[in-house]
Amino acid sequence: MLITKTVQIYPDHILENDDVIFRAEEPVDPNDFLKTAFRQLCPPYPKFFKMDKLSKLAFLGSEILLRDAILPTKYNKDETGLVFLNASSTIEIDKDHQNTINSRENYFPSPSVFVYTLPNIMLGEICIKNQIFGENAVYISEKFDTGLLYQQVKILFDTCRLKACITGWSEINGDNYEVFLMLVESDQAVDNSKEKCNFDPENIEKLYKR
Amino acid sequence: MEEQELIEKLRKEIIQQLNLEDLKPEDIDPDAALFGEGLGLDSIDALEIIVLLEKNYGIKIEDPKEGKKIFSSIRTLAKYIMEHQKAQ
Repeated sequence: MLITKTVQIYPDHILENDDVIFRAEEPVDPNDFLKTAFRQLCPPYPKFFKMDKLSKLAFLGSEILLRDAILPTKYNKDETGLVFLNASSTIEIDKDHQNTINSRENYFPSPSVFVYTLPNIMLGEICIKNQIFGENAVYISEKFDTGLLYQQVKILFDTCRLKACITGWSEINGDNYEVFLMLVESDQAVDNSKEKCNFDPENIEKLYKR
Repeated sequence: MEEQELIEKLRKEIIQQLNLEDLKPEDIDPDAALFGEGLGLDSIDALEIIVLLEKNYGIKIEDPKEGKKIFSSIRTLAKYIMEHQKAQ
């Protein structure tokens, strides 16, 4: 298994592999940062603006990760999967949902808010856009757990015929957010000329902390 | 409230409630289909419009079959609200 590309999103900049591809001029609200970055870096997709912040983060990361990948032609639809970790699950949208049901006199739960109160939905948005039908899972972990991530992805490659996996960390809690995504592909499927490194705990840790 | 005035209000409310970020009120043709080919709304948006009707206009849609007719366009939605408010 090889890591063929990485994307990292932080509150003031976005990295594609080692390159800073977007930087906020001044501190901005997470939603504004994500919307501006999406408009600048990705093809139009109106559904993006309806997503909650966690899904926006994961989706933006995946769009950058896959923008020069040829997954749909390279692999069958069920040969690509997703494995994500995060610490706060959907706490941000959970709080928004709570606000819509706090008062008995003003009890109007919003369907479009409620639908995002499961962390798997961020994966669903990525799967819908990219027609990915492979296995997918989100694990809640107090911190970025290299061993857990490695094990889960390896199991899917070993047992579920996966040949590619979008995997990593997508986390938001208040104004703090962070995305670290990797595209992992099976050794046989990767062109020798392509820059890559082995998918193992040591390399994952090194790339995450760079 | 006149029909045209209500249409203007609904255009703004729908853009805000459904997070239609890239649309301006004048972009929504009051006679275009809200679902499918027209504005391209989905089933969650339909639920959101049902909540909007209840929250902003005090109208509850009891019969789901009614929804298809009422939600055909902004104009049919405005007519339904006006008729319903007149009856109240």
